[in-house]
Amino acid sequence: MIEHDDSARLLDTIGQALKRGKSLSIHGHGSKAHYVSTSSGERLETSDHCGVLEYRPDELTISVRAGTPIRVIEQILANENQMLACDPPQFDGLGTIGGAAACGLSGPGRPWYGNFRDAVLGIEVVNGHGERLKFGGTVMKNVAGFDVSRLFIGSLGVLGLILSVNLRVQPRPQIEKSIEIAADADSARRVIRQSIGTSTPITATSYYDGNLQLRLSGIESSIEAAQASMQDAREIDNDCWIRLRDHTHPFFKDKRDLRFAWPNRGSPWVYEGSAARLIEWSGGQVWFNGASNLVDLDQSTELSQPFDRTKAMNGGESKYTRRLRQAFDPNRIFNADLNV
Amino acid sequence: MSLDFCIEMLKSTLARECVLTDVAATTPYETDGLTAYRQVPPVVVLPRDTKEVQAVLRICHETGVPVVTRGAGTGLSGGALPLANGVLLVLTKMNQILKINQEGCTATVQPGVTNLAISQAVENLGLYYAPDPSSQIACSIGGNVAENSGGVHCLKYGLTLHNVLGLKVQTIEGDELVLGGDCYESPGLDLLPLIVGSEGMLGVVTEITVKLLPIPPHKEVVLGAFDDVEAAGTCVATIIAQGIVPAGLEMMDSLAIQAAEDFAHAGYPRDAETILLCEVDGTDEQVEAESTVVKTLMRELGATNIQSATATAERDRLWQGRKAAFPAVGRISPDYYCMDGTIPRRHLGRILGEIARLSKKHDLRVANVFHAGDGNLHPLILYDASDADQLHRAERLGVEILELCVKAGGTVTGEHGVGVEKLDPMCTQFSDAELEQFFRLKRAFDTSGLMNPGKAIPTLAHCGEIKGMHVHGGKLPFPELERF
Repeated sequence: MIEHDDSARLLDTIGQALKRGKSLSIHGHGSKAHYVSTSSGERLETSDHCGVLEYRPDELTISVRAGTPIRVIEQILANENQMLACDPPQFDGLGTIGGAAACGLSGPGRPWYGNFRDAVLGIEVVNGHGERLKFGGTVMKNVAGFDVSRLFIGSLGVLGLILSVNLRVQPRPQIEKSIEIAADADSARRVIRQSIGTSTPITATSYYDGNLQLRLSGIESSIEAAQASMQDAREIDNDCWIRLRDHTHPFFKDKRDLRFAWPNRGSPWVYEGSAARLIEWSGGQVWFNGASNLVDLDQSTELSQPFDRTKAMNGGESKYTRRLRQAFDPNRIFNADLNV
Repeated sequence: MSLDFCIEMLKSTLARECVLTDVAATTPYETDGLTAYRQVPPVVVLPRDTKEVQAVLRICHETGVPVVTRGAGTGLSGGALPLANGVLLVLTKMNQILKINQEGCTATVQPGVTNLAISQAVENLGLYYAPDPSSQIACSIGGNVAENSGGVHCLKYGLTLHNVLGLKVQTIEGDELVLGGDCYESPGLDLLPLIVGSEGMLGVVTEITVKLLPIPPHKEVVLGAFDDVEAAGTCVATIIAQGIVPAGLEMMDSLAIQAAEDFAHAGYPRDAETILLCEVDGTDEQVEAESTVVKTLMRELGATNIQSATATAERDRLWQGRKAAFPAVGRISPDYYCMDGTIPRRHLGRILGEIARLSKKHDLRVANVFHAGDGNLHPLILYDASDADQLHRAERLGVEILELCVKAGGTVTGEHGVGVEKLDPMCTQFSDAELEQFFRLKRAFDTSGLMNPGKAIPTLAHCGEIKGMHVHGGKLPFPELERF
């Protein structure tokens, strides 16, 4: 793979922008342009700043430059029979680790593996003063200073430029199998609820169009025992989780009326409206397609937070968010047109 | 406006029993778990609900009086050390479990609820709260959030941060921040990880929603004794490299084994140089498979004695010695000083050797008890506080151990927090620009610097003194800004 330290150029560009009072918009591969896009000021391209800084399979850690493609990292980890300890989407098979960090999105494994934030151990950033700063480290337990590395996850680049991230990784499960069970929403909910009580090795769930899909990960005997306990389950291809994660699943084909929510768990199962519905994360994330307005959705499902389409939030900033932005980037050099 | 005026306002706002000023009543609050530091607070307030917390903060804000928040007072870094001129805000009266969501596997609690009480409240549902600091019987969940507490089971189940889903936080300016909640994600900048571990410097946590996990159906504890520390260290790294993530992986050295055996009679082999305790959990099949690998590895790496236990009473017996290690060491020395550095696992053997060398150099015994799986060391430095020279040597030895940790790519505190205790080594770990960024971040929440001032982040002037030099020729950046 290509290894390149582009930090001198990045720091220089930031220094120049500071001097001239200009702003910069940060760009990786652009794989999440549908989710968030920024166009204020000069483009700051990060994808040339790439490569693995250190990979320690025995420590379960990897440090990588922000421009490194996620799929390259996945390949390196797979060679040691390891994987990321989170499940970030790689839309179109592209996507850099820096972009994944800045957006903080999670795929179907989120409730079991955690989100990107949970996997971060340390970060190197450039703030709006043009200073190169390191927070956190490469060890699992570290409570020295405020947890700035995790604050940067999902911050959409408004606090500063991410140069590199240190991540916790995990061993690949010995076996991974996916199964499908035809079920109405009530039974699907029941199967999931029962599996929680019996330590069934589930690492992903989805419910769509009368079918409950489950991913089972672990040792062979555990999975066999779990499979034996699920009646009428048929084995399916593991790739279904990648299609779900990267939105190539048929549900996501027409994105015109796509909305999602993170409900208080339990509530998405009782929806009786007409929109197509896909439930992930054991009921922790639900997608709707074809619902014309959010109010209807909200009332029919008691969703705690229905969101418009797949966009990053672009609402009003809270007082403390504004002040934090000020604390890191007082001149609004980075992604000035975004509100988080 | 003065502290006296602040106290008057507190008395006129809160019920009489919630405001303590009598020295006999306030003296018990003079220290937290780090007893080397003491300060009797001029006033202790014990609010009963969020509204009263807000009232206390409003009064402090209006009168310009600093405030230190305290939970159960079990913290080990002096984070809740009172101020001579400030209010001590104690949250132990807020001890209600507000909501249990069985299907969602969450519990919403007040900050004064003890860590263990959460697990006890949901045990009948087959659930528990995973992080288990050694003080879990007494420590409060609010304190756990403030310190991002760890425990024996962090390796597999994460720190407090990974097990907290939502927080309600009161700021000194009177705002309530609702962060996260009963669901997996929330929109906007993620302030939750910033509050977790912020040591009372940013706000006061008044409500916490935690994640509950199903109690694993099977567990097995394996003890392996080694006559070589390096071999035990290699064993730790090899277990992880085999793809096993144990629920707990602990190590004790010979001095700690002796002390623990005398105290708890756990049946540890007294002649061992070091022991490893490894717990695996999960389904029956998984536990069986993983414990077999662990035992095989221990044997291959030269373990002299291997014991294992699956039944609850037997497992508890094996854990007993480890859990009682701190008080056990307390019996063999008038005082001990507990360190909390973390290092990458692969350096375990080497750093233990270095610690032994430093122990000789300063002529003080060091017992090692630690979370080997995540490289979190707890060297216990044995000394006699009534001997000023020993105290001085103990502190010096502690600093040198933490410097070793930073040099090895680790950190000065894995789970106990910085508090007042580790301000010096923070200067080694962070650059001036990084420390200054921490202060800017603090000011975003606490413009007037009233929340737990003087803790957790050393000022550049302080670091300048430590390093025995002037900061930037005696000039601080932004000299007009208050340093806390």
